[in-house]
Amino acid sequence: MKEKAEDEIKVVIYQSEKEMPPVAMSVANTLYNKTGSWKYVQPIYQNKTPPCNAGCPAGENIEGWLVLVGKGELSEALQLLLSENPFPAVCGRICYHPCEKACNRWKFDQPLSINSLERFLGDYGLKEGAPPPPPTGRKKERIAIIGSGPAGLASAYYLANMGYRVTIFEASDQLGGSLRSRYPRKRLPEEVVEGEIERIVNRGIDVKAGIKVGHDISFESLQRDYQAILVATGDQRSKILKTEGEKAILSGLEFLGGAGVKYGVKLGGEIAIVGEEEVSEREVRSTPRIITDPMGATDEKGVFACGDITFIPRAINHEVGSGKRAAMAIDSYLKGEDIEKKIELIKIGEGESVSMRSYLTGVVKGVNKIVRFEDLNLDYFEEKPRLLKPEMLAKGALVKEEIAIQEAERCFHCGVCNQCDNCYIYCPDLSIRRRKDSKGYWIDYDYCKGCLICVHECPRNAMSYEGVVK
Amino acid sequence: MDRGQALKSTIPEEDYMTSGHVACPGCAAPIAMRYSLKALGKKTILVLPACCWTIIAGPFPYSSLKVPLLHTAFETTAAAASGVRAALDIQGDTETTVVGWAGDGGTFDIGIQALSGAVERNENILYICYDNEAYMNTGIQRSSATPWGAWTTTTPAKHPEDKPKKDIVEILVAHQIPYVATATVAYPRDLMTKVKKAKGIKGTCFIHILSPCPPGWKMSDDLTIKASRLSVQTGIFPLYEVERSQKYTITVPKKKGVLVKEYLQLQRRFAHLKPEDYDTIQENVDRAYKKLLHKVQQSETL
Amino acid sequence: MKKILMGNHAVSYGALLSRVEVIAAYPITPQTQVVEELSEMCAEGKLKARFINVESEHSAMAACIAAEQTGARAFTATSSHGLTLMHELLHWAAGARLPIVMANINRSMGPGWSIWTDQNDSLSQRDTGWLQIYCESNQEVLDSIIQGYKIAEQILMPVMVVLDAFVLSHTYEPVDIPEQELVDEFLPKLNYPYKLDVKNPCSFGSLLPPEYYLELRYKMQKAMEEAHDVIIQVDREFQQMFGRSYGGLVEEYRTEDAELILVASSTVASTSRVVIDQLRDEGVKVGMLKMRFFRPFPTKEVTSVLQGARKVAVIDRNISYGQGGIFCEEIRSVLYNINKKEKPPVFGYVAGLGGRDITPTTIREILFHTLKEDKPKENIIWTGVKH
Repeated sequence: MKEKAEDEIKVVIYQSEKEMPPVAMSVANTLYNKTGSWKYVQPIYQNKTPPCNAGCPAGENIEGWLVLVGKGELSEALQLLLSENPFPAVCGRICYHPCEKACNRWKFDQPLSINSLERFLGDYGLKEGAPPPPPTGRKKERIAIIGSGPAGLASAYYLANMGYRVTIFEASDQLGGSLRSRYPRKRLPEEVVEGEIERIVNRGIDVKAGIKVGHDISFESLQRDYQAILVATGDQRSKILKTEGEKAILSGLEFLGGAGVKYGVKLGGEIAIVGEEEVSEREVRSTPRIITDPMGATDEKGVFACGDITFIPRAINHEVGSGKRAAMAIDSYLKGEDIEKKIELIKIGEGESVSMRSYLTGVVKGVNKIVRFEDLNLDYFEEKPRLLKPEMLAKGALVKEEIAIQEAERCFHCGVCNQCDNCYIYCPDLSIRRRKDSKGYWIDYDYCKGCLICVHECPRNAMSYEGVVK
Repeated sequence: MDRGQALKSTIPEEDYMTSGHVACPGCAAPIAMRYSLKALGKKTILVLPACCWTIIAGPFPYSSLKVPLLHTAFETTAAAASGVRAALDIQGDTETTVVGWAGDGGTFDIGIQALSGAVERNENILYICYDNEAYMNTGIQRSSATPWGAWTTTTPAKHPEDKPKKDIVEILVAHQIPYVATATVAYPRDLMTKVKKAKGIKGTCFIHILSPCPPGWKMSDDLTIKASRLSVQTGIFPLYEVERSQKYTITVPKKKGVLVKEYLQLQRRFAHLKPEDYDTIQENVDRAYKKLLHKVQQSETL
Repeated sequence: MKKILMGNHAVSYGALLSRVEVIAAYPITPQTQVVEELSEMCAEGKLKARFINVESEHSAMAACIAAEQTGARAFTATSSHGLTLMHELLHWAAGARLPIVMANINRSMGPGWSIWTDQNDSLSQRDTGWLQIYCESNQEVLDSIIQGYKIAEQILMPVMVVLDAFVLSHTYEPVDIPEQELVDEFLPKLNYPYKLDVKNPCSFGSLLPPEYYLELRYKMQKAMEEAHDVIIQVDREFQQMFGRSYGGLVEEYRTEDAELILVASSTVASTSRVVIDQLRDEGVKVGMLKMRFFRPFPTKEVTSVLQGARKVAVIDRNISYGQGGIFCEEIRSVLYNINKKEKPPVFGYVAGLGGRDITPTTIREILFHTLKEDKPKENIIWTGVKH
């Protein structure tokens, strides 16, 4: 793809002195000389995984929406955020923000105020209204979701966005689950919860409040009428929904906190349950949690589980992530596709984070390699403390847009090219050119000598190199 | 405001050289030329003596440059530039800039007579020295620009360079010309600003560009920009300008806490140095930087 | 307009009339008056040129090369050590095919310091590719500069106009200074075809690999060969325009029936005319071949004139150590190729080095010595050495 038409490549060979000028003068440029043949390694553009994204159990593309906030494109930022997490205003208030601990800027000066920025965006969304999701074809399958806590609601949201006919069965007369009961009002106001739930429900979700499954309606009837069932009953007193010998689908029993059972989700593997004391298998089997595969499928066909009823940490970000994984599992199940095959495509980092965008489009924007602090070229960053501090929001004050934008500009964009031009500027062979569509750069391998200055000077490790086969 | 614009480069798109040149991978000299030409524009005539760029410019009948180029004998850069200037003047051309582009050999050593002569006459030329700190084109022999302690083929490790680097900037300031400045490739915008400034000044202007050389400095090809940046951050190669031979201004200050050790350890031409040598170099650099700051301070009142 | 001019000032007027545009020169005895006069002419506005006060002769030639390459008519003057300091760049100017004209005042090379005349300085530049014109009068000096530019700009090779130190440079003679308008007609403005031009950017003098170097040097020699006819043509045109001719590459003086032909150059040729006349009056059949051009070597003329002689005597005010007088050696080598079975013996005399005077007496002795001997006993016949 040649962008400059004026520089023609000409090879000049004089056969006779008669053709030659009398002096040693030039008649052509040096483009005939394809110095690209010199190299044995070559640079490539390779976006990688920012640590904040890998550190967000909800699978948000944090770096992505930070770029947009930094440009002042708040509506677009919100749209990107909502495509992965329907609860920004909620999370911005109650999430324990492991993303900030993961942020590479933490080792440089101060991490990005991701949590406060999420709250800012969430509140912006509640105030200004969120842009509608992209339209999708209506599917014929019906899905029943038992429980309307954050996990269940999130899952309902994703499934409704995919076009499924979702019905939520909520035992109490109010949606929200732990969002209503677990957090003090001061910290998580009613109107915020209601606003974000309303946005989800407005996706065309059928709500059946005041209906207890296993009491007002049988589980088996749901199995008859719905093509998939998602148990998202959360962390409540136990209730046996259905038993078949040793196997039991349980619902919300007391959590064996005393046993000190710790657990985590590792995609593509088993669920690891690590305890401080030995817990017998029988005890595990009778614990008040539903064992699922990492994506949320139970042993029973067509029955899935997500949220605090499964083995996830009891926090909003994990709950949303769990709901997302279950939505993906249900969708693949209904399509007859093997979700195991998609895990490499959708995972962000090495934990439980998955990307709905990658799941839906099949597109991955880079390699799944987390950028560490050591991988950055810090010469291009200046120390600058946080502009947006959590205390500014705590008092309920409205944060000025300008401050949010400047805070977002502090983002290093680890592993993701933001067209800073460094590679283009420092190439000694003018082999890096700006793409005409302004989407980045292309490397003219005909002339690139493989010095790798570009890779070294990329502030954010968005380039890698590979060997050249001669 | 469109925040996206803040990320876009302020560097002009047009280039006056092409790929296909035979500079070593990672060479800083083409980078220096590229940005100088971006600042100078089309109406430039380059005068080039024997140096690495003689080869980088391409063999007959090719040229990697898109401006007229006169190859000239090793020691004659400034004299030849004077000749081009005289011819243009007599032809009534006031727009074309005449640039002498020489290495450290052709500037500090064999070319210093012609340089001093032309500069003393205040010829209306821009002289740019791209300094890789040795006679690199002939195979890494020492020049008077080779820094103390460095290995070269004529200052081998058993008897490395034992003289300080010639202070070419001060030599030129002593000639009382309107503009002298230093620059380096890690700071292309600073380089372009200075070249553009020099272009607009009548009389002789001199820019000294530090141009790291991976083979000659014995470092990996990809470390060129890092070395260039460290030279400024350590204070080894301060970026400053001297206007009217009086007013000293530092354009990119050194960075606190960056020790010369970091710069020296990047390059195996310093591999034989002992810890006390690092101390010597650190002391010398600190002293010189202090002296420069003093000059800056003194000229603040001007 | 006739003026009494010293040789150096004749040079200055030659440059003035040729409307040189860039002058870069460094003073050296006995050239200084050339540049002083030119400096004065520029300051007065008589000559619209840029005068660069370079800091050495090497830089002077560098500046001239660069100026010429930019399309301006360049001029310089030097002598002796100044010329040899330029040596590297003399090769360069010729290789770059630049029509620079330079005046060289023939002065001896040190050590010890000598400011007086001999021809070693210019003759040791014979391989550089410069044309060389040896002048015997101040008129010829002025005229040769003008002719020099015309020849140079046609064949694209540089020209060196040579005159003797003090004997010519500081000696006043009447000189007819031609009208500027006539000179303008004879020598139009320079239109150098391979110049530095931002509208047509290219490089000059880059790395030249073995596959092409030979061809470019071949073309240089071809230009030198082409110069032969151009020189004659230009001299003819000069005669038509100004009424003076120098015979082209050589001038014959009373050689028609000469049995002994004396070959001389520069002021020795001038002195020789007096001696030739004397001897002719005494009944001796002598004649003189004045070598005006040394490069290109006038092979055709030398062979045609000398092959008819019984003996040839060459006076060299120079020597190539380890061989002999330079004019003599080149003449001998050229005569080797003539068809005659009987080639005339060539007596090679070396005289006048370091400014030792070559008087009519000296020349008489040389001629009588030649007449007496059948063949030269030695390769070099030293004249005037205190043994």
